[in-house]
Order: sequence, then structure tokens, then C-alpha cells
Amino acid sequence: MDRRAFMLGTGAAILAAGSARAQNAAFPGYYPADYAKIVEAAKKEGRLLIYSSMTTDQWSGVVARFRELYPTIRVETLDLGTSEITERYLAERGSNSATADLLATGPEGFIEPQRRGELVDYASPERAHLAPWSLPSPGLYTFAIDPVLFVWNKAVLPENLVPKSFEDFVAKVKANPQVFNKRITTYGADTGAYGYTMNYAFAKHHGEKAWRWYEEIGPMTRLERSSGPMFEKVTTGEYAMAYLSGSGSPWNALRDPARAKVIGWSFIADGTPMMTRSVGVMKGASNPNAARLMVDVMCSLEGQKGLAKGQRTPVRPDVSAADVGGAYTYTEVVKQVGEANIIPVGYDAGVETNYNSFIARWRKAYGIG
Amino acid sequence: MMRTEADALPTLARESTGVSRYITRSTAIQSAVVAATVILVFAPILPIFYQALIDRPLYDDGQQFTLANLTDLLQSPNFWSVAQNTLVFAAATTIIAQVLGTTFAILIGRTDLPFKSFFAELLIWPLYISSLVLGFGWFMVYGPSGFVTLWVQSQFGEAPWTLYSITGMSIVAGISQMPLAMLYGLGSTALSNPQLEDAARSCGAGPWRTLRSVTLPLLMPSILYSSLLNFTIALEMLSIPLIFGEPARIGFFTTLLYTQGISTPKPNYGLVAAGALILLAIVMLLVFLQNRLLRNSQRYVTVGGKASRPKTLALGRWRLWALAFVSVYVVLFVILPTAVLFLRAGVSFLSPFVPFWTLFTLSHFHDIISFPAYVRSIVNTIIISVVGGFGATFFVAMIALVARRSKFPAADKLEYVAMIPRSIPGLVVGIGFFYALVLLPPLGWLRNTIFVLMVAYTMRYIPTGYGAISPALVQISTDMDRSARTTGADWWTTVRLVILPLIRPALFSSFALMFIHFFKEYSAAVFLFAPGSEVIGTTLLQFWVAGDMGRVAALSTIQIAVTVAFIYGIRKLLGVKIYG
Repeated sequence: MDRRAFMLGTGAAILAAGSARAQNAAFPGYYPADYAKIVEAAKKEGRLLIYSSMTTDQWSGVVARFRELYPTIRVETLDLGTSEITERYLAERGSNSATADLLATGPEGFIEPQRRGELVDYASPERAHLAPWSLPSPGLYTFAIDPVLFVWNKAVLPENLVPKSFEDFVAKVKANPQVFNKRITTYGADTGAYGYTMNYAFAKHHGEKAWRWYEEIGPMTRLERSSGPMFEKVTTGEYAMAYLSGSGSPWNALRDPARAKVIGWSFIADGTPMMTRSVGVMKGASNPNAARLMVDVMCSLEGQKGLAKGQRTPVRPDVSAADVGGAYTYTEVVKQVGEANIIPVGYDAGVETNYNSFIARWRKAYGIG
Repeated sequence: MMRTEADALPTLARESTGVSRYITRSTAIQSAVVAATVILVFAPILPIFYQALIDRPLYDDGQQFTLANLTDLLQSPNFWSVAQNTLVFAAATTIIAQVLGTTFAILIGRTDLPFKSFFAELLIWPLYISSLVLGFGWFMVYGPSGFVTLWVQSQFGEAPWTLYSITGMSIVAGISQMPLAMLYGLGSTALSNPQLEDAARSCGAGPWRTLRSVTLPLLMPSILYSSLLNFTIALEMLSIPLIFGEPARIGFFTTLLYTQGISTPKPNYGLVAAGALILLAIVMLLVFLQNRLLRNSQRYVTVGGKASRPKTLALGRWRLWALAFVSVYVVLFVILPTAVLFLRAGVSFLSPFVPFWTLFTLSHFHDIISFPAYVRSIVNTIIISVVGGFGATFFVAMIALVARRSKFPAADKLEYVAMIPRSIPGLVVGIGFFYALVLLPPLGWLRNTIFVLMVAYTMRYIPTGYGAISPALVQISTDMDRSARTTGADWWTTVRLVILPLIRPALFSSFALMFIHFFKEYSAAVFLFAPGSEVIGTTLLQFWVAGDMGRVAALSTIQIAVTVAFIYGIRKLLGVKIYG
């Protein structure tokens, strides 16, 4: 080999090494060496379609992070109702039509796709940095939580009647029907997956005690189907209090100090159900590589921060409160409630098989029908 | 009978015997209209019928025929009490909507009520927004913590009403459906014949007697059509039962279908499809009854060959009472529930415990215009409503002309076909179109475009537009057609140059209804929209589900503003006067 050829050779090697470093600059060292292949393939795909029940602006933070890394890939999100996410995917898949690359929804939305083997078993390089509980099954990644709360109207509910735990709540309702009767609200277990899966986990956690509670407070409860009217009615004082209510609307609203004067909230000390949202790459994906990249972004530290900008509560253990502007993270919720009092709402086989018997018993306890 | 007439008048024979013997321009147009109607109505319905009769989702293999969906539905707990609630609610809603709507149609269309064109504009407002949002406005005003309720409580100790009852819900639903009855009525009063009322007066009848014996009976076709529609709309109404029925544990047919078939961890579209079959049977029975009642249709003819000048009835000393009645109604039931929405759009939250004037903000509007997807949903909706609204009105007018004004074989059956879509809940229409498109590959590209939404909306609202046009056709004497024909015009020339111009107010009513309904529709879009084809309805539903009531209110405010501007602008543009 002559000198010139040697010079050229090393030059090329240095150049190659340099470009490889530039390529990997955005990725942490633990990403596999051949990650660039996925990136290249994803760039060729050029787009990504997600079905979820999150609005465009709830997506905007994490999508901005994705665009920062992959500016040429167009991300489209379609905000659907929880049952439509799954049904639309299955119907499109069943008729061989174009469909979503990713589904992002609650556990109940993945039961049927899982049974049909519709999830791609993708091992994200972020896996090692996620808590084991957030990896419910191969290919599924939990990216956000929604703790279930007590929310009340401070002007209507006297301070001494603010419940300290669910047990305390039931006792106070029983002792003060003039304050609580028909002025407490929750999600119906029989009117949607959210209310059902949460109540199922709650009753499983507390056992027979939960059923006694339901029988006490059920007949005094007005049921709501969605958080908008529920929370709006707590704000006007039509309801004194919402129990087992989602955290999305109240936490978002309480950024407004004026509203914080009217609304009070707390975790449920003796058992806070923890709703989860997961994401998975689907077999029907037309853009499977772009979908993989999005899973990695959503599970990455920066992606989790982006989700927090859209008022999603991050799950990754190394996200600190400072990262998310003082908002809650999974770690922070656990610290406040205590590990033992977290009720995971998840991928329990009984959720599906026990549906009819659970609903029948729940309706009876609530005095419906 | 037809044959002998044709034989006697050879020049008309080609027209009257229809396709069976000759093909002419007119029969070709009529056949095309019939074919298009049948395809448009049945394409999405056949997959639904099929779904109702099989044991698993349409997209799964190994389907078996079964009646289980139907029997499951009939045996579901409380089915019969739910059916009873639904019938009571639908009947009460219809009565309230019809009584009010007819009263306003007469006051505005036939009398010298002061400021009537102003009132006419305002009275339609409840129809501009979806009843989901209107229901929200109502509980902010008349709910247990509503502004008016709290004020009445502070004055009188208690407020003697509750929205959480079948009566309360019927009032809300009746008032939100009143404009439909009023618009149909106005389409008719615009064609009224004052000579008939004059005749009654000159025979010594007082104004009430004239009203009862002449004016009202002549409105019968439009009242029957709007009753039929309002009754079926109430039967399949989901929003008001969800907002007020569910917290009070009053079950309805649609909430039952929705809860057990759609909004459950294990959706069951077979059950929903079976529910649609039951609704269809009810609607077909009602259309049959309606046709029986309108059998003697020449009784309702008010526009004949003789020219007459529309003249309004003088209310005399009742004028101020009528003004007071309309004003109070408008303030209590139109302005307050919409004003509270406008207010909610402009504040961070509403609560009696915090003075609202400390909470003003433009952030909800800012949030909407700063996301391209939300802005696109507004632009798409305007395009769909204007283009689709015109297209749908033309199409429905053609259906009505063929069904009521042609000798096309079995033309009268076309009306049954035209009424079928009314019985299918919107979400089911969307699912049906979805399957129609994916099962017919050449049409697959239509998915994910706003065009498919226009087509689906057109199908869904054929009955609404048809009901505005058909009564007007009943009122126009067939002498008009015959005289045009004797001068040599064929069917198409006759309807184009004679009939259509005469029913211009009804055509405008139909367009306004199409525009309004296309503008606020969401249920049919849920299964059909895609990134790029978002509409206001789907965006609104997303805000609603996310609990973002400020944005719901802000988007509804935009919705009302755009609808008012377009309805007003297009009416000026077309020079239609429908308000007397």
C-alpha cells in the first residue's frame, strides 16, 4: 500500500467515525449500533399515524421532541374515543385497509389486539431505564399515568368534612346525608372502560370492604360519564365532591390560582387507583420503523418531559419534579401515597372475564335497575 | 287510468308512461335520481343489516347467522322500562317542539308581530349547536347550581324545576328541536293563500276560528313531516339523555345501545345494529301513517294558477301580548343558555363562588387558533357545509320532485327510501359507510377525505331536507304542471322553470337545515374522519371528552358566529325572504 492510499484510507476512516458520532449524538450510548438502520428506514417511510384518546395539544410536547430528532417525518395523531381506537384499528386491519402505526390507550384497549397477536414485540433500547411495572407485556410501554383522586368544592364542603381516606369518606357521607346526598359524583362502572377498569381494580384491592362502601354511598351518588361535566359541576357547586375522579382536568385547572381557591383535591390515602396509558407498535403499521422511533422517544427522558408539557404525568423513574416544572411524576405520587397504597389498574385477565358479574353486582350496590 | 289518459293525450304519453316504454330526458333524470337515492341509502345500511344478523364483528372470519343480537337486546335488563322512558320522552319532546314551532311559524310567517325578522333569526339559534353543548348551557343556567336557579332560590326559597327528569329533559330537547318545526312551518306559511283566510273571515269566523279551521289545517303537511322527524330525532337522541338522564339514572334506548354496544370494554356492534333495525321498523311505520294522513293531498293546495298577494294577519290587541310572549321565550330559552356559553368561552371557569368578571381570558380562543388541526377542522366544516349543503339540497329537491311530481313507476315508494336514514343513529351511519368503502375497493381512496363526510352527511340528512321541501310541493297545485305541459314543456323543463322557483322558500329552508346540521354533525364522522379531514364536531367531541369545557364553549361560539353569518349572507345572496 503506498502512502497516498494509506492517507486516503485513514481519512475515510476518520470521516466515517466522525459521521457515526454525529449520527449518534442525539442518542445515548446505550442505543444499539444498528439503530441508524431503523432511523434510515423510518425516514424513507416519512410519516407516522397514531390513534389515541389524547388531544393534539396533549401530544404537542412529545411530538415536538420527535420532530427535533427526525424533522422529515410527519406525525399525525387521531384523537378518538377509547372504544373507537381499538374497533377502528381492528376493522381497518380486518378489511386490509390502511390503519394506525401506533395505538396509545388504556389497558382495556389492548386486550383484544393482544389476543389477536396484533402487537409487534419491539424491544426498545429505553427498556432498561423503565420501571418493570411499566412494561406490562412484550411490545407494550406504559408512558403516562393518571392517579385517581378526591376532588371537592371548598365553598360547599366544610373543612371538617374533607375526607382523609376512603373509609373516612364513607363514614362522613353516612353521617352527613344533608351535605352529600345526590351531591357526590363518580364515573359509572357500567358506562365506559375508564370507570369499569378503575372500579374493578379498586374493588379487587379492598375486597368485600369495597362492596360495603359501594352499598353505603352508591345510592347517594350521581353518575357521570365524562370529566367535563363532572368537574364543571363540582366547580359550580352542583356537586360537593367527586370521588374516584381522574386527575387530568383538576390538575390542569388548578394551574389557575383563582380556580385553586374553589377546588380542593387529594390522593386517596388508603388506596389510590393508578390509571395507565400505554403505547405499542401494531402489526398493521405501514410505517413500522417510524413507529419504533416514536415509542423510544415517548419512553426517553426528553420525550417524557414533552409529555409532561401536554399535562400527561410521566412514569420514567429518572424524571424529576424539576424536569416537569414541579408537576407530579410517578415517583412523586408513590412518595406521597406510599407504595402499598397504589392500586395499579392494569392488565388483569379477570378484567375481561368478570365483566358481566362485576357490573351486575356494582349496579345492585349502586341501586340501579 | 294512466294508460287511457296517455292515449287521449298523445303528446304527453312519452312522459307519463315512464321508463317502461320510452327513454326521454326526463325519465333518464328520474331514473338517475332513484338509482342514486337507493345506492346512497342502502350502501351503508346493508353492512349494518348484515352485522345485525351475524354473531361476530364484520371484520372477523367464520361468521354465523344468528338472531341473538336482537334477542339479547330485547332481553337486556330494563329493556321495557327503557323503551317506555324513550317513548314518553320522544312524545313529550315532539309535542313541545311542534306546539312552539307551529306557533312561532304562524306568528312570524303570517302575522304583523313586531320585530319578527329579528326574532326569526334568534329563534333558530338552538338548532345551530349540538344538543350536547346546548345541554351544557342549560345546566349552567337552570341546573341545580345554575345562575337562574340560584337567583330564584335566593328570592323564593326554592326553584320549582329540575332538569334531571323526563319532563325537564323533554323541555330542553323540545326547545332545541323547536326550530325544525318552525322552519318547516315557515316554508309552508310562505306559500299560504290569504284568500282562504279571507273567505273564512267573510263568513263570520273570528280570528281564532280562522286559525283553527283554515290556517292550522293548511299547515298540516309540514306539521306532520316535522313531527315525524322530531319524534325520531328524540328516539335516537343521545346527548341530552347522557347529560341529564344518566346522573338521574333514567335509562333510554340510545344510552342503552351506547353503553352496551359501544362505550364498553368489549364493544358489540351487532347489538347496536339490532337497535338500528328496531328504530327502522318504528320509522317505517310512522312514514306509513303519515302517508295515510296525507293521502288526500289536494286538500292542502294553496298555490294555484291564480295570482294572489301574501297578506299578513293583523293581531290587533293581541299584538303586544304576542310580542311579550316571544320576547320572554327568546330571553329565557335562547339568549340565556347561549349567552352562558359565550361567557364560559371568555372566562377561565364559571362558579357562583367567584365573580366571573375577574376571570376574563381569551386563552380558549387562542388555544384553538394556535393548533393547525383545530383551524383545519373549522375550514373543513365550512367547506363541507357550503358545498355539501348545496349539493344535498339539490339532490333532495330532485328526490322530492320525483317522489311527488313524476309518474315514475313506484315513485311514491321513494319517500319510504328517503326516510330510512332518519332511523339510523349517526354513529351507525359512520360505521356503515366505513364498511361500504372498505368492501368496495374502488371507493377506498375516498376514505380520509372530506368528500366522504359530505356523502355520509347527505345520506344522514336526506329526510331533514326532504321534509322541508315535500310539504311545499303538496301545496302547489298540479294544475301548474299540467298547464306547463300543455304548452309543450317536458317534465324536466316544468319542474325547473315552474315548480322549483315556486318553492324557493322551502328550498332555502332545506339548505339552511342542511348547512346547520352539516356544521354541527359529529356522530357520523367519528368512524370516518382522519388526519386532514377533521371537522368542528369531532374537535368539539375531543375537547368534551378531555373535559376542556372552556374550549368546548369557545368552539361553539365560533360555530354559532359562522353559522349566523353564513345563513344570513346566503339568504341575502339568494334574495330569499322567508319571514313574511
